[in-house]
Amino acid sequence: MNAGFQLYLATLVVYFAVYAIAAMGLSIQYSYAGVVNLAFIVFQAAGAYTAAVLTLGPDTRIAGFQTYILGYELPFPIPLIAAAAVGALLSSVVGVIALKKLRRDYQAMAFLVLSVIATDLVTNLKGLFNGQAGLALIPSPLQNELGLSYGDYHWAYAIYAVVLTALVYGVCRWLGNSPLGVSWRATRDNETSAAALGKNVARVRLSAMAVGGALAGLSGAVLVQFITVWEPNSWLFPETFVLFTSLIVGGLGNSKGVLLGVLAVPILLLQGPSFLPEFGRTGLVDSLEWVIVGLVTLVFLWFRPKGLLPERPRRLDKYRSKGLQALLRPRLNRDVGGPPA
Amino acid sequence: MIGVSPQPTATVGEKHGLLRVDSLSRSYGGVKAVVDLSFDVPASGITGLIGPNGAGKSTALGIVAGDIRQSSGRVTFDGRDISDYASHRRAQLGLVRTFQMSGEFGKLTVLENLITAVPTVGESVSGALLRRPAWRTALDAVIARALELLDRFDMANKTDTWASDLSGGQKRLVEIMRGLMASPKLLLLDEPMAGVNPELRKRIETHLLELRDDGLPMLMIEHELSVVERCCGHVIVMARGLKLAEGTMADHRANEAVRSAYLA
Amino acid sequence: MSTLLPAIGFGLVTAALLAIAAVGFTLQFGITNVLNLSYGSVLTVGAFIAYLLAIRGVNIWLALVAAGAGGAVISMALNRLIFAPFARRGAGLFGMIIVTVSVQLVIEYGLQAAFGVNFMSFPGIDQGPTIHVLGMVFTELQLIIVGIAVVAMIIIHLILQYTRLGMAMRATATNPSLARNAGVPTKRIIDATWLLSGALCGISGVTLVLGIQSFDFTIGQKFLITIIASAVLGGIGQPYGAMLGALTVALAGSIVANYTSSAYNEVTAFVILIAVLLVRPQGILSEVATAKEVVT
Repeated sequence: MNAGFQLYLATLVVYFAVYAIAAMGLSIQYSYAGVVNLAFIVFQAAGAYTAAVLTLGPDTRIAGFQTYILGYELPFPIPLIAAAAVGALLSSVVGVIALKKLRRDYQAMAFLVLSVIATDLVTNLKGLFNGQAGLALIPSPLQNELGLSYGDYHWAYAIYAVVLTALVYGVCRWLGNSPLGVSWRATRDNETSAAALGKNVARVRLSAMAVGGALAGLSGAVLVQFITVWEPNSWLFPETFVLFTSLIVGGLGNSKGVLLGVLAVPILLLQGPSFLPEFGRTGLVDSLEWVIVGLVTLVFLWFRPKGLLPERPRRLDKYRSKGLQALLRPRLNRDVGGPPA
Repeated sequence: MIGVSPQPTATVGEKHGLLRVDSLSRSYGGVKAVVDLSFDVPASGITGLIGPNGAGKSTALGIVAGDIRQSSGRVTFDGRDISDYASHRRAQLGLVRTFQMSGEFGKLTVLENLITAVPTVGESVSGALLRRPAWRTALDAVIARALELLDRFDMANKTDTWASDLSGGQKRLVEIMRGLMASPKLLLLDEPMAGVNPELRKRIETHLLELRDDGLPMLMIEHELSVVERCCGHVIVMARGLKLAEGTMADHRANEAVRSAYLA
Repeated sequence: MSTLLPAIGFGLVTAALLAIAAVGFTLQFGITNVLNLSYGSVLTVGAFIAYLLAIRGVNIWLALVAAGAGGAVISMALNRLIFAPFARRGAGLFGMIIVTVSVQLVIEYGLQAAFGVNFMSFPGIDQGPTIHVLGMVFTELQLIIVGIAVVAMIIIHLILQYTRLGMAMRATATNPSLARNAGVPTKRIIDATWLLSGALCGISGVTLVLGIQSFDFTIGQKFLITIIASAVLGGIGQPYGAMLGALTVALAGSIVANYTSSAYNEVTAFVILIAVLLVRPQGILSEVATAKEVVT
C-alpha cells in the first residue's frame, strides 16, 4: 500500500466521520423538529468558518492575502466547541422563524432560498470570510505539539474523527432513548396530543433544531481543520441533497440507519468511482455520479422509502434500568404474550 | 334544581365547581358555535355534556382544554382563571383531555405513549445529558405505573407495539390510559366510546366507573343516552350553542324544553 | 439618474422572459400542488433543443416552437411517468420535492455527461440596431424578446378566459375536489397543465439564451429561484399575479443592481421571496395557500 493510497484512505475515513456527524444532525432536525432544512449545509459551513477564523491568526499577518473577521488563534478544542455552539445558535434562530405554520413545501422553498442567499452574502461581503476565494492555510489542531510526519498526522486525525463520531453516535442514542427523545417523537407524531399532555411543542421542536445544528457545526469544524481550505463552492445545495439521500437510503429515525446511509451514498457511491480507471472526458465521471445519486434516490423512494434500516418499535428493555428489571422479574414473562386484548 | 342527587352539584354563587365556565362565546365568521355558555363541573363524579349534533359540545370542550380560543368569556379551574392559558399549561395544571380521533402517537409503542404523559427532568437537552441518574430513577417509577395500568386494562401484551398497529378500540384505551398517567385533576373525554365495538364499550364504561369510584372527576361528551344514565350524575344539555339545562338526567327528562329539543 | 432609465429598460426585458417562465410555473404549481424543482431543467432542455436546431441552420422561429413543443412533451411525460405515480404512492408535499430534485439532477447532469460542460451559444444571432424608447435603450433583439413574451401572455389570457379548458383550469386551481365533483375531467386538465407549463418553460429557455447569448447546462437551475420568486410574489396559481411578480422582481433587481453592484441583482429576488414567504405566503393576488393534497 503506497503512501498516496494510505493518505487517500485516511481522507476517506475523515470524510465518513464528517458526513456521519452531519447526517445524524440532519436526521434529528428533519425527524424531530419536522423542519425540511434544505439549507442544512449552511450550518455546517457556519461551523467550518467559525473554526477557521478562530484558529487562524489575524488576517493582517500576511498582508493582503486573505481578509476575514476575528482571527484569534485559539487552541484546540475551543474552535471545535465554538463551531458547535454557532451551529446550534444559528439553527435556533432560524428555527424560531421557520417553525411558523408554513406548509411543508413552502418551508422547503424558504430554506432553499436561504441557502442561496447565504452563499451570495458570503461571496459578496469579502471582509467576512474572504469572499469567493475562501479561506486557506487553516491550521490543523495540535500539529506542532504532536510533531508527527505528514502521513502519520493524517491517520491520527482520522482516528480522532472516528472517536468523535462514536461519541456523537452514543450521545444521539442516549438522547433518543431519553424522555427528550420520546417527547421528540411524540411531537413529531401528533402535535396536538403532545400539547394536550403538557409538552411545550415549540420548545421541543427548537431543541431538536439546536441539537441538529450543533452537530452540523461540529462536522464543519472537523472537516475544515483537515482539508485546511474552505470556500463557497464547498457548501452548495447539492451537498444537502446528498445528506438527504443518505437518510432516505439508510433509514430515518435511527442512528444505525444513518451510518449505513452515509456509508452507502457519499462514501461508496460518490467516492467509489475514484477507484475505477479513468474513462471519458474530464468531468464525465463527476456528472455521472450526480445522475446516479438522483436515480438511487428515486429508486429507494419508490421501492424502499423507509430505507434499509427502517425505524422499529423501541422495546421496554431500552427504558428500564437494572434496578427496575429486578423489581419486575416476575412480570417479565407477562409483558411478552399475556392475555389477549 | 329540584331533586336530590347522590353526587354533589354546584349551585351558582354558593359552592363553585372544580371547573367553571362563565359566559363563553365563540364564533366562526358568522356562525355562532357557542353562545353565552355557563356551567359548573363538580369535583367528583362523571359530568355529562350532551346535546344534538352541532350543539357546540366539542367546541366547548376545546375551549376548556385550551385548543380553541374563546371569543369572550372566562374559564376557571381549581380556583384559577385559566382563560388565557395555552393548552400545555392547562395540562400541567391537571386539566387533561383525550381526543375523539387519532390522538395516539402512532410511531411510539404503547408504553412510550404512556410514558410521555409524565413530565420528567430528562425532557430538556441539558437534563437528558447531564442528569441521567435522576431521570433514570424517575422513569423507573413511571414505567412501573404504566405497566400496572396496562395490566389493569388488559393491554400488557401490547406494551411494545406501535400505537398505529392497534385496533380502534385499543387505541381508545391507550388514549384513556395516557390521560390517566398524567395524574389529572379533571379528565376531559370527547366521546370515548364513539365507533367502538359493543364489547369494548362495556369495558371502557366499566373502567370509567372504576375511575370515578377512585375519586377522579370527569367531563364527558357522550351521545348514547343509556351510558349517560348509568354513568353521569350531573349533566349539562346544550343545543345550538346554548345551554338548555343543567342537572340530573331525571330533571332533564322532566324538562319540556330539553325533551322537545333532544330527548325522545 | 442617467443610469436609472437604462436599468429600468434592462429590467423590463428580464421581466419579459421571466414572466413566461413564471406563468408556466404558477399554473403548474397552482393546479397540481407539486413544487416542481425540476422546472429549471425543462428550461435547459428547451434552450438545448433550440440550440441543436439552430446549429443545423434551422430558422430561429422554428427552433422556438420546437423548444416549446419539446418542453411540453417532456413535462407531461415527467408527470405521467414519475410525479403522478409517486404522488399516488403517498409521497406527500416534501417527498415530491425530493423526487423533483432527483429528476433535475438526472436531467441536467445527464445532459452534462452526454454533451460536456462547455458553454454553447446560438450561431448567427445578432443584436440588431439599437432603438430608443422613452429614454431607454434597447437592441432589436431585446424588443423581439419582449414581443415574444407579450404574445405568449396574450395567448395564455385568451386560453384562460375564453376556452373551456381555461375555465376548467381556473376552477381546478381554486378547488380541485370540488372541480372533480362538478364533473371537470381533472385528468385531462392535469395533462393540459403540464403541457402548457412545459411549453412556456421551453420557450422561456430560448428567450433567456437569446438574451444572455451563451449558456451551459446549469442555466435552468440558476434561474429557477428567480422564477419561483416571481410566481410566489404574485400568488401561486395566479397567472396575472405571476406577470406582476416577474415585473416587480426584475425591475427591483435591476434597480438595486444599478445602485450597488450587479451581484445584487439575483439576491434582490431571493430576499423578496423570503420576505413574501414570511409575511404573506399567498402572495399578492392569491387567497389560497392552504391546500394540502397533491393533484394527480
